[in-house]
Amino acid sequence: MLNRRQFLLGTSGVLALASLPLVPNGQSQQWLVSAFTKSSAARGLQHFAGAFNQEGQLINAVLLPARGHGSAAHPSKPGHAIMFARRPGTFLLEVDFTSGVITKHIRAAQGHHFFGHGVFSQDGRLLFSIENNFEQGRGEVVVRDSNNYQIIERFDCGGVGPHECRLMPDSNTLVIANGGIKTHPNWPRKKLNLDTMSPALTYLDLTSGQVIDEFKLGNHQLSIRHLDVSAQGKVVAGLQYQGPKNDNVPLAISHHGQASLSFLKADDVVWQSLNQYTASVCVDNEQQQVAISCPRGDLITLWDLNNDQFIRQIKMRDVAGLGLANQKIIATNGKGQVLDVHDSQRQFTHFNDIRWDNHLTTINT
Amino acid sequence: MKKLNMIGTSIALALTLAACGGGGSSSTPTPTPTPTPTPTPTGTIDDQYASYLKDLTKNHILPGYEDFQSESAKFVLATSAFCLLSNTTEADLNLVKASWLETNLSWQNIQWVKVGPVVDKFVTFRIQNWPDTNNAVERGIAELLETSEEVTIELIANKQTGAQGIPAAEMLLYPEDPNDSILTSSSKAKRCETLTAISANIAKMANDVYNEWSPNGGNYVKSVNEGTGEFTGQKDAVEELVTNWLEQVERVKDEKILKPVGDAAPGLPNITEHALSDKSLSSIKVNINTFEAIYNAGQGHGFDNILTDFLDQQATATSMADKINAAQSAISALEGSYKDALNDETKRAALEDTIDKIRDIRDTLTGEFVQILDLSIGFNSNDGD
Repeated sequence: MLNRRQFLLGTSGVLALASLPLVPNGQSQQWLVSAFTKSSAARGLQHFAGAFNQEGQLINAVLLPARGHGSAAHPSKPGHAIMFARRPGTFLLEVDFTSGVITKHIRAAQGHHFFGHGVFSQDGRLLFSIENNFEQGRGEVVVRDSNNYQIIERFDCGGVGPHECRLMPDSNTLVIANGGIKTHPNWPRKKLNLDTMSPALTYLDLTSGQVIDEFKLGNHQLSIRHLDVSAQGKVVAGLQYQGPKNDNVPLAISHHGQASLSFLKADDVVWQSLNQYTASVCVDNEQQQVAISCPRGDLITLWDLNNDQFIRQIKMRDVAGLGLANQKIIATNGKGQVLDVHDSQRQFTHFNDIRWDNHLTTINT
Repeated sequence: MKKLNMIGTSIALALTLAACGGGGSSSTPTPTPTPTPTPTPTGTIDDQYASYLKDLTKNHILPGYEDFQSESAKFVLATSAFCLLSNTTEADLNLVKASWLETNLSWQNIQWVKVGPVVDKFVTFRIQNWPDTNNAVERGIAELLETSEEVTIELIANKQTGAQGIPAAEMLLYPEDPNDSILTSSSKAKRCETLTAISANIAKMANDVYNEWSPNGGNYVKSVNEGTGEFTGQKDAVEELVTNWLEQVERVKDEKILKPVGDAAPGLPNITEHALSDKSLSSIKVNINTFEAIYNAGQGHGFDNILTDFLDQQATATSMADKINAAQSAISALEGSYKDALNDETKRAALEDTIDKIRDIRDTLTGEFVQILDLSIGFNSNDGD
């Protein structure tokens, strides 16, 4: 494990202090958690999970067995989060970022791997991890006891290649982005069913474990990947297109109880500029906006949560991570940069030699 | 009177833009200034990257944007002059077409650059909306020709991107239906008004982008050269430009050649970059020539120098240079109509050969080249999750 002092030696903390004042005085501290990769001549590429604070300083980081992906804030353990392995990884770690210690290390069951995402139940007693049952070729929501992360139940998530999930405001429904892409760890990053893939936005009842609703798009190669849910229960999801490279397709949808999914509204040029790929989705209930990151387009896009209209774009190269900390949307990228999305001066905080991975999670301390 | 006003405005704009540019015009998109190679720096790899950036921007990018600015200003003058004529001939129209082609080729020379002002406000798509799978250009032109409003540069600039750039001008100059010829069409006046406004809009975008790059304007070149602003350092700036280069290599190979070649003759000429004018081959040649300029920093302190003189990797330097030369040679076997080439077995073989040679460049670029230079080309953008 690297301690805080060792890490700060490799960061530009002074600049960070000046450029990322995220917390108004008097508010409780929130940290942002992300997987990241760091390279050094001596050790080559190493993968970590780290938390940084409102001053843009790395609090603590732990070395991961392999590349991480998404994380989940532990609702009843301040300063703790779960880090999920990147597909097709098999580790799930509970990390105490206050001390920089891995407090639990869980492996996926035989025939399973993690898909990089999961959420806790509202009371914090259960963890719902999204997993690939690759022996049976189906996606599962695996219900785990958050004391020891032992498996309590397995629910079929109603599709192939599930990715991100979120708890709906009723606390009893899980909305799942079923990406539709079949994979197998024998061919770790290969997509095996692009011609027949069938993505869906799926609602799963957590009491019965049954799929209660499912919505598909007309274009079956629009993979539903990442999503967020507003306080009122509106779901916004980012898509990744698996069809021909020169197709210009919309890359974000919303759903709020309607009979079908709706694409967010933007000119063709906006969709074209995203290069068929989105990464993270982040709802800001206060501002009634949604941010969607687009690393292949080097853009953060902002959308009106009420009418689904495109508002504007912010340029940030290789941007992927988005998180909401103290009413501000924060973005990270593969260049080690951190940005307050609404900062009109676009002042980046920069962590030397760090490549922030796909997703950011806010945790309370 | 309206026509004269519009044309007068466009000519004034073109003359202003030409004056702003301060540079001469050339009939080829290759930058004209004689490169002055920077002395081989000693010290660290970061010093090497600094020299590369300085020479690439000085020898290739800035002159490239200046050339685009100059050619697009001349295109405004050409369209305006044509539209002032009461009796127009095929020869008159050919002058406008030639100017459009020079504007396009000057754009093709710096089409690969995806950093800086060209990215802001989707300018790159406004200059050239291609591939256009949603028929945005056709829809945009139809809307402009139908409007009762005077088509001005302001109107164009607020239209959807398909109506704004080089493909929109191409559609008016090379209509699919002969009845829509700007020489003989019953809507000739409206077509002239629209073409003039589109050309003025292209020239304005070219002027704005150049001025933002220029040390005398927005000085974006300083950010690139020093690795500041959006960049985390000079190596980061180099990585971004190499990523741009790789994307252009893939685009030229796949979108411009592989897909139009298709499985068999006659190929798919309708999806080529310039399907209406049939000038796609000229653009591809310019694109491949830019690979050389990116590699050797416009004959300055290029990657060839870094690999050879600093990293002692002569073999990789020679390999990359040879592969670029091979791609240039392969495409040079073809001249004239791309449509004819796609339908001719011998020429199709030359196109297949060009694809293979560009693939070789791609393989070297993504393999030993970035490994030896320790360059990272995308992290989250390559993630796939």
